[in-house]
Amino acid sequence: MTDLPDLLARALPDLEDVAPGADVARGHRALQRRHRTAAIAGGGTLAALVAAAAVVVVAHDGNRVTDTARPAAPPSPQASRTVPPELDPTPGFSVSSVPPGWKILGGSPYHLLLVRTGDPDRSLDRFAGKILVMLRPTYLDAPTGTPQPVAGREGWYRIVPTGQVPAEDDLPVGTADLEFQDGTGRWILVQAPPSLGWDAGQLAQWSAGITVLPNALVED
Amino acid sequence: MASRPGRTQARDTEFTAFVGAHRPGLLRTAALLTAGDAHRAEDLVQTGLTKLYVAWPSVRREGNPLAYARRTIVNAHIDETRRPTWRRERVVAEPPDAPTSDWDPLGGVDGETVRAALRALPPRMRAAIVLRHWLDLSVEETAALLGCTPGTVKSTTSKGLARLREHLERPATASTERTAS
Repeated sequence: MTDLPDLLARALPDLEDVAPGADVARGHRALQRRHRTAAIAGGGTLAALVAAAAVVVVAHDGNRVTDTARPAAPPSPQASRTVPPELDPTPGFSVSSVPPGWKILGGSPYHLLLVRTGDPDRSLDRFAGKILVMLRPTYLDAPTGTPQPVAGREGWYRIVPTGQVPAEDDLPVGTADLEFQDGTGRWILVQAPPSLGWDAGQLAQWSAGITVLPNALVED
Repeated sequence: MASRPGRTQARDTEFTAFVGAHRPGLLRTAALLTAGDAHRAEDLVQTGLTKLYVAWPSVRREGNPLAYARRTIVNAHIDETRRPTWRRERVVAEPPDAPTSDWDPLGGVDGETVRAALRALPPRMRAAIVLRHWLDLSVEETAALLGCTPGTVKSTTSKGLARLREHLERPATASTERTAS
């Protein structure tokens, strides 16, 4: 008896090879649609919560700084039930200072974004040219780069390789990653654009002022 | 969307590698599910891979992106054929309960004859045959992918093989139509 797979193989039409880049681009668009849908669904509470989170003046290292991201109050249990994490616009992180010429844009339990003052890009889902703070995603491999301690704890600094994968809009060349452990052992990831003009030491010093808030979630 | 640090880039790198390795196989599977319709097969693969990209972090953590991609493609195929624009097949003769052991399906049949025979099968029956005999999945794996019991897979596959045999032996006695209503 002849193999059934051989019979089925006869039924195959001529099939065209397609480069993976087209599938990646479709994936990007699907992800963007999902994020846009989430943004629309959560839009009613977005502005109020971000505003409540953003403007507090604190002292840092004896110098007056402009503002910090700190939620006015922790999310209520009711809010946790009614707002899925991906729709919750309360940043999961606070910073003790904001670089001169920058401001807090907002975020989610997964991330906090800072943007250069005057930057018209208000998207919370685009990160190129912005400062990003997030917990290090669990699916990433071990940190790489140059050792760069943060507040005496293990950290790694590297310039993000760009242009290696098909993407609709890669990061600017020179974008830096700093990955470090906080006092609880969690890994924090900070992404800084080259326009910030900071070296590894400056970025580490600023990153020492990052606090992971109770509502923070890690990308998995 | 711009890249998050490592996040989108890692996803893109891994996904690109996955697509490079498995897209041709997924497309062939989809082509059999659609009974040789290359355009519909491409649509199914695109649908499956797009869903896979969106779900990539959790799927990757679960450790079997290929199974996820196959499942989305099969589900998309079955869902599509439930639409009212698709007319179910019409089989003239009652099939036997099980195929005979001495069946030699390669009795000089050409590709179009095989495609016609596949078109004569209901979508889930066709899927069961493709999963079991093209992808060589186990009964249990096929059942998990189709969302049914192993017993249903066995009976569906057996009936499907019987129908396939009948159509290959007497292709003119049965007809299947893909017709826009």
